Formats: sequence, C-alpha cells, structure tokens
Amino acid sequence: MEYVLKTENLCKSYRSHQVLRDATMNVPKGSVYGLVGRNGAGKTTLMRLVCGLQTPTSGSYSLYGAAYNDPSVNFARKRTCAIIEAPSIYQNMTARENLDVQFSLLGMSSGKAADDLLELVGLTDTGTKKAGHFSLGMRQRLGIAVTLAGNPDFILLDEPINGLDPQGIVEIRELILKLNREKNITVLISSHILSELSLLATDYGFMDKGHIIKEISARELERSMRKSMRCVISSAPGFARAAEKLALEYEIISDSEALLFGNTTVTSLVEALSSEGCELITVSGNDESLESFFLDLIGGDGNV
Amino acid sequence: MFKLLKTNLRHLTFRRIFLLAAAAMLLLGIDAGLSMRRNNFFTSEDFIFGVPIVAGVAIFIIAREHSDGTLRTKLTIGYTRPQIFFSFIISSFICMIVLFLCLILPFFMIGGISFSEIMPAGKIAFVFFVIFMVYAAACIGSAAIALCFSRLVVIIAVTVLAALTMAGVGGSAARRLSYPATFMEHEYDARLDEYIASREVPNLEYVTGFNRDILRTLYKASLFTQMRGVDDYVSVFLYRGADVPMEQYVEICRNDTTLDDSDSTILAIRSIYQFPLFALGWIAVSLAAGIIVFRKRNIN
Repeated sequence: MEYVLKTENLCKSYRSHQVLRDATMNVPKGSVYGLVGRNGAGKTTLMRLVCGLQTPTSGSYSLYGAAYNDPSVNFARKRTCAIIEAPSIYQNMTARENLDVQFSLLGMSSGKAADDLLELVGLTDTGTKKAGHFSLGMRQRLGIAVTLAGNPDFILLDEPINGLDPQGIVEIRELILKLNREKNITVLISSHILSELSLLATDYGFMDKGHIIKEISARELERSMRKSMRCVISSAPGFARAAEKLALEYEIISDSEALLFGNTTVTSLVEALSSEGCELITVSGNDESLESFFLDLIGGDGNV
Repeated sequence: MFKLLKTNLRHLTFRRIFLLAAAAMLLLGIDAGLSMRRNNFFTSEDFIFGVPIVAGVAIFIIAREHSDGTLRTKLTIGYTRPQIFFSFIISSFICMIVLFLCLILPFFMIGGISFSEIMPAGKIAFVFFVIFMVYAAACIGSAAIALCFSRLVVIIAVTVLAALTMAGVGGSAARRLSYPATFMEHEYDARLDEYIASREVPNLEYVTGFNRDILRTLYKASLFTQMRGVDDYVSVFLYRGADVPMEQYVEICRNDTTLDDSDSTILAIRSIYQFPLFALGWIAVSLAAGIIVFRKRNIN
C-alpha cells in the first residue's frame, strides 16, 4: 500500500509538557483518514508538525516518501494543503482576492480556476464582501477553496466542521467526499463529532495522551465493532440469569432494558428468558457506535 | 522567494494602515519643508516621528499575517522559513523606502532650495543617508521582532522596550559625554554683592579614557542619539558662527583632537560618519537573531 504520510515515534514537548509520545501513523493514499482523540490528545500538534509549522522533539515523519528534515520535503509540501484550527485567509480581502493571492503564491494564474473553486465551495455570490464579514461556515468554505488552489493531493483538515450549522456540516462533508472520490485527494481529518467522521472516514487513527493507540480501516472497524441486541424485558435479574446461562456478555441499562453482546438467535434467547421467568417485550439489533468503540479503546468515557 | 515578495507587496495595497502611514509621512515631510523654507529651521523631530511609523507599519502587517493565519499557509505550501523570513524583511524594507520617499520628497520640494543654501549638497545627501539608515534599522529590527513573536501585544511590548532601552542608553551616554572637563568657580562677596574672583576647576563628573570610549560607542550605537546627532550636525551649519568657512570648521572639529567632544556639535561632527555603520550593525544583528529564532520557533 502506498502511503502519503508516515510518522514514526513522533514526539513533541513544550518545555516539560509532552504533547506527542511516539506517535506512529500511516495515512494511505486516496483515503479519508479520521484522526480521533479527546481534547488535548495531540491531534492538532500532530498536524502542525506534519505541516512544518513546528519541528518534532524526536522521531520522524515522511511526506510522499520525503523525510521531514530533507530539503525535498518542501516539494512534497507543494502537493499538500492544510486548515489547522482556523482557515488561513486575509480578513480584509474578498473571497476572490484571497484566491488570487493564493494562486499568486503558488505561481499560478487565477482566472477561471478561481471562479471554479468559488463555485465548488458555493461562494460565487459574495462579491465585494470582505472575508472578515463572512460567517464561520463561509470562512471555512473559503479556507477549503484556498487550500484547493494548487490542486493538492493531500489535505489536512483540523476540526473543519467545528461551529458549523447542520447545513454547513452537510455541505463540508459532501465537499470532502467529492474531493476524495472525484479527484482522489487524500484527506487527513480530525473531528470531535465522531458520528460525522464515521460518515466520511475510510481509515481511522485513534489518539490518546499523545499516542496513536490504534490504526484501523473503516472495514476492519465495522467488523470488530461488537454487535449487540437491545432488549426490553420484564425482569432485569431474570435477564441476567438467562444471559449467564447462554454464556453471553450483557449490560443492564435499567430495570426494563438491557444489552446482550455476542451471537445468538432470538429463539434461544426467548427460551432462556422464559425458563428464568422473564418476558421479552421487544428486541432490536444494536451496532456499537464509533464513539463507544473509542471509549472502550481508551478505557473511559472522557470528553470526546 | 520572488512569488512571496510579489504577494507581500501586492498585499500592501490592501492595507489601510500603509496608506495612512504614507499620508502621515507626507504631512511630516510638508511640515519639515515649511519649517526650512519659512524659518531656515531644521529639526530632526519630524524625521524622528517617522521612525515609529515605519516600524509600526512593518509590525502591523506582519502581526496580521500571524492573526489571519496566512503565515501558516506559506509554510504548508512548501516555502522554507528563510524564504518567508527574508521575503517579509525585504517587503518591509521596500515599504519603508516608499514611506521614506513620502517624507523626504515634500521636504525637498518645499524646503530643498533653502536647505541647499545652508549646507553643501554632498553633506545634505549624507545627512539623509544617516536618517535613511536609522529608518532601515528600525524597520528591519521591528520586522524581525514581529516575525519572532505571534501576539501583537508581545510584539509591540518587545519593540517598545527595545526602543526605550536604546533611547535610554543612548540618551544617558550623550548626557554623560556632555559634562565639560572643567567649569568656572566664582567667589561671591555678599557684603559687596558681587563676584570677586573666578577660577577654572576640573569637573569630577567628566568621564575620561576607556569609559569615555564606551560612552562614545553607546552614543553612536543608539538610533535615538543618531537622530539627535543629525540635529546637532545640521545646527553647526545653520546657527554656528565660525571665523573660517563652515566646511573647514567641520574638518577642524573632526580632526583636532585637542577640541573636547563634550560639545554636542563636535561629538556629532566626529561621529556622524560612523552612524550608518552602527545602523548596519543593528540590521545585521536583527537579521541574524531573527532568522535563528524564526527557524526554530513554533508557529501556531
């Protein structure tokens, strides 16, 4: 498999505070790589390092095979663009002027390409309005347009949907999917909104306390997520005894509700429950969410 | 690098602060020119006011790059840190030249003829070269500071602190150098209500030897005292009567080591040719320190 970005034992400390600890990550080409982690897990720091905004304390990374301390990495960076925390745009310029500046920085002429980008992100009608007067969603979309100016192959997006309204979230999601599918752009995206991330990502990297604790593709994740049955029952103790009889894991949610993990048929479950004097009122399939997978992984239910 | 420079300079036209600064410089130039034309009066004050203006423009433009996050973009799309650093330094310098022209063109258009009647053209050119170098050092120093810190408040605090230190050290050195070697002590007879005797006594505050050399160096190194030195130098031509032609008088002051440089005009005449070298030194120090810090610093 070809990787756009590989990090190896990447560490970053600010004075005595270590933010990244031996972070090892591989971003496959053409993927939408979701970086998942709590606040302060080190996601933004990792992205800053990869963008060259900061230098690692130890460890290394390579971008398109070019080591971070090799001069050739600057050529690799020309294929990369990023929005870290907030979009990088000149607040005193219009959307079009911002794109003109970006094209000029890249040594390219803007013209139709700038118009196409504005159309792509839905900012064609902003006219002479300065970016400083844009809404957060408009700024975010302009930031994405600016990053796309040089036709990059790899985009890093740090919390791109933070602060967006539901419609904005859908627009950004569709834009990212469109870029990935139609232009084969690799996207590294971090987000707190895991349900949203699960609609985008083809690969995941889970971060905790500066470590990448697990890397997994979306397919593998789907397979490894535990299936469960959500049961509405008449007696919780009876349910517990029946689950133990079937040698299955369970979780009592309330007096009348419980989760049953593992593979079993509804028939055998009903039989076991009735032998324990417990009535099964309703039963539904329940897939474990990305959020609970992550919480299980980090061993707690901290702030995700 | 050229693309960066072009973008930075193009970007300037969008900055209101640059246009305001240019207007302020024009006004200062007009004011200085009118003073020269009407009253044959030259003071470096108008030119001193221009120094914080050029420094402020460099600071605000670079600080805006930090706050808009556009400095990040330049790094993420593959420009190296030295390229970014020097592009900002060069664009700030070009911006400073434009502002300097806004200052001196109206000055010369209004007061140039009057000035040339008082001072030889070569000396006028040199005086403005000294002022130009002070502007260049202030602009490049401020730009380097602005590139090394992210927050506008910190940038302004560091720059103001540096400027105050420079003014304080230079001003203090100039004051201590101005103490005369001797002073007259007068004996007063209260009964007669008149001075009855006078004698010259050595001044114990007078600094000599190596310490005086250090003070002279501090005087020359301070951009603040360089501007004051320009004033003192020009004042020789404007106000000082001498029994020899003025240019000859200046040469005597420069070369006759028996003349005491506690006289500020003599000190200025002797130092002015070294001012640009010290300004150049500041530029070199700012660039060296700036690039070392900027290459290593974390950009948020």
